[in-house]
Amino acid sequence: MGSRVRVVHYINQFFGQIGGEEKADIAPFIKEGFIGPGQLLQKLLGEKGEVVATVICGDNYFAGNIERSRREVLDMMSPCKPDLLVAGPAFNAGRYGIACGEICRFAKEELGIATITGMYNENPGVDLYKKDIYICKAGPSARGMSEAMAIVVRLALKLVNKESIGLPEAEGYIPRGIKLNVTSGDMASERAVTALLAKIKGEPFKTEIRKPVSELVPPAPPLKDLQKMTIALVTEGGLVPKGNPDRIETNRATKYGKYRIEGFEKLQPGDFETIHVGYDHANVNDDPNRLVPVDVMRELERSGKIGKLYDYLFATTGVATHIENAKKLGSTIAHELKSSGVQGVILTST
Amino acid sequence: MKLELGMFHINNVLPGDRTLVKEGKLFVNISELKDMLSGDPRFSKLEIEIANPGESVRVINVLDVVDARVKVSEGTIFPGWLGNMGVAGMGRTHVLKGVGIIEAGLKENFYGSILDMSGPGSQLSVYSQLHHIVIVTEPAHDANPANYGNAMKTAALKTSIYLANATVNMTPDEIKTYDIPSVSELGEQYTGRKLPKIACIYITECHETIREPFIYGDNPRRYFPTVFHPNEFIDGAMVSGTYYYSPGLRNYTYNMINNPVIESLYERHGKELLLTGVVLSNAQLSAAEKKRSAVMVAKLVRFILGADGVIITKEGGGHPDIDLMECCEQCELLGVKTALINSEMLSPDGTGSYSMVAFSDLADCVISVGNVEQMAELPPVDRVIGGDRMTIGIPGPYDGPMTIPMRFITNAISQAGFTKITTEEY
Repeated sequence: MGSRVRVVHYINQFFGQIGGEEKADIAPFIKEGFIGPGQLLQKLLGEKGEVVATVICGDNYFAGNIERSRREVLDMMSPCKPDLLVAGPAFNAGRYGIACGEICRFAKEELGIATITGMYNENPGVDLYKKDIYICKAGPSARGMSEAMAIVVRLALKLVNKESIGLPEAEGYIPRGIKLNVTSGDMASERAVTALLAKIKGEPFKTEIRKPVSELVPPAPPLKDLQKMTIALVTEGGLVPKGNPDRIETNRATKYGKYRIEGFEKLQPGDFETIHVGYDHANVNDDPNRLVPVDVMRELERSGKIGKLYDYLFATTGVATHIENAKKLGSTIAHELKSSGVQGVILTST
Repeated sequence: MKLELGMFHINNVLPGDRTLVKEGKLFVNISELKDMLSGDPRFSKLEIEIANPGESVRVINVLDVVDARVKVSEGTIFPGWLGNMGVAGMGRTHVLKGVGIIEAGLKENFYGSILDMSGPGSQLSVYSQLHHIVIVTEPAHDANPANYGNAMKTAALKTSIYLANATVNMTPDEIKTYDIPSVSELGEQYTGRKLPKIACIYITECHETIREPFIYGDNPRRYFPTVFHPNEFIDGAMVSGTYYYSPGLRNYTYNMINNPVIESLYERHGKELLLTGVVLSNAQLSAAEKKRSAVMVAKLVRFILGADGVIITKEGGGHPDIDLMECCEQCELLGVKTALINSEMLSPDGTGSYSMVAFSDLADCVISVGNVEQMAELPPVDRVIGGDRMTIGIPGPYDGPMTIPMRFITNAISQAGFTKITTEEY
């Protein structure tokens, strides 16, 4: 980049020298040049960049209507033709952190420019935005301004120049939850022995895979009046009509099939087969009802224990499926069942 | 138990009129080897090829890798397959260090991996550094999966002994001694100082035919967890029979014989730790069996092997993750510290949540061997070995540039710990 990098700085009412909490409702406005911490920003940029404008916005104003605020801020800064947006740093200020994170994310997406901010590790903005943007490590309060701004500027210039970004520790940003394969100096076995010996001695050791936070799904309340209800069968066991007409993937599924079972007394072997690569197919192909119990459901239907078996079964394959895909599939199936008047579902797994 | 490994360091494999080892080169009489293997009616086709590191060669349909070793004293090697039934791990074994023997084959549900011998792909797999003799086969029309798998395993192990046999009357370049006394003789009286006692747990798959290893020639579907001396693995007490599982990720015979965890522990044995033994267990099929196995594993580790710490590895994914975590939990509950090795299944771009069926709160030390889904770019090569199609459904042409998930590259992601690949969070 031959010319100087054009920088817009986003700050809140406090750092914009308008006032404290009593001015937190102030609407965004733009001023030419730098204000407050922007002076340090300009000093660190030196000849490489110029703070062309500063947008100041009250924290409550931004948080009160994020969609409106971000649009207003973006419309103010766009005419400046910035190459870079620096927001904050926000330290441990929660609403300010969210504003900085959101405006960085939005400007990156809408304008395609480099954006960067800085926050304290525990700022709620970190978890909300660390996947979308680079958030530099900052202390809990403005006392850490000079260190934080130095990290921000160093990384910002790399982003603007599209240089490759190293590990969080070396660059000073908060890990973004993106895990990439790298080559270690040692075999995995060596690292395991080293870590184990440290653990036994009570010394610090590094775990390379942390337990993921799982979402708990509260169980639905029990069904009353089962004898009046329509119940559907849904499986992740990969049961499809022979030949797999919908080309459902045998693993890592991104889609599901919906198959008519209306009027079927049971599933006939030969009409259905499983394509799931995670288990031995022999038993299911011999009798598909042992995976999707249509035969038993018909008996329950006849004896009046359930109102009706839903006319379609839904099937996908649950092998190495990413949680994000599984969620999408589950949600789509659930919405379709609900809108078709199904009140209960039996999920069979393998 | 004492085993001497007489090592011959091989830096090139070449075709020759006679099979012999000379000045670090292995010459292979290919027609003699081919004649020895071709009589098996379970094959319809068998070819022998050579692939050396640095060559512009891509081997496809890699089903298993073995190394070249032979017993040159009393004792047995590959017991239950080619060797006599007896205790493996004693006496002297000769090994051609740097040589790999690849089983390459084609049959439905036999999932083969891809191994580049040069270029960026070769940086991803330890196997790219080996000099390979590739046995390329196709099954006879009437060979069922078990027949075909057994035929390939037999051919590879025969080749292993045949090649190493060339050194029977030679003096090894180096002799490495693997000698650990019984647990009762271990301890301060052995080293003169107090060192942590470390064991390892190897959890096998035992899913079905072509999805399990063989132990002393038998499948591991029904047995209780049992204690092994580490030397038994070095003499081939366990070989892979797994052909129907993620091709790059599975544990190959080579890394069972050259088990990297056992090697690492042996390396530090008597210096930083005392290696007390291996507990072999299997990934049983029901929750109750998994729990029982884990309880018995922990009992063996804590009260029989007397270990302070243990390294746990597993084969496969999905339900074996439950075994991994159950073993971790039961050991930790008995006061044995654990370190685990596992792979990660994230999105190709490294985002997303880790879709693992079990993760114990006590699993606080887990070593990652990489994200199986991350893509690798492989450049074009001059020559492809191993067939003209792939049963796992990767489309050709195979000599062109390829972009494939790392789970298709031979042991780029090795749950036995036989890789330098890991993940870093960016």
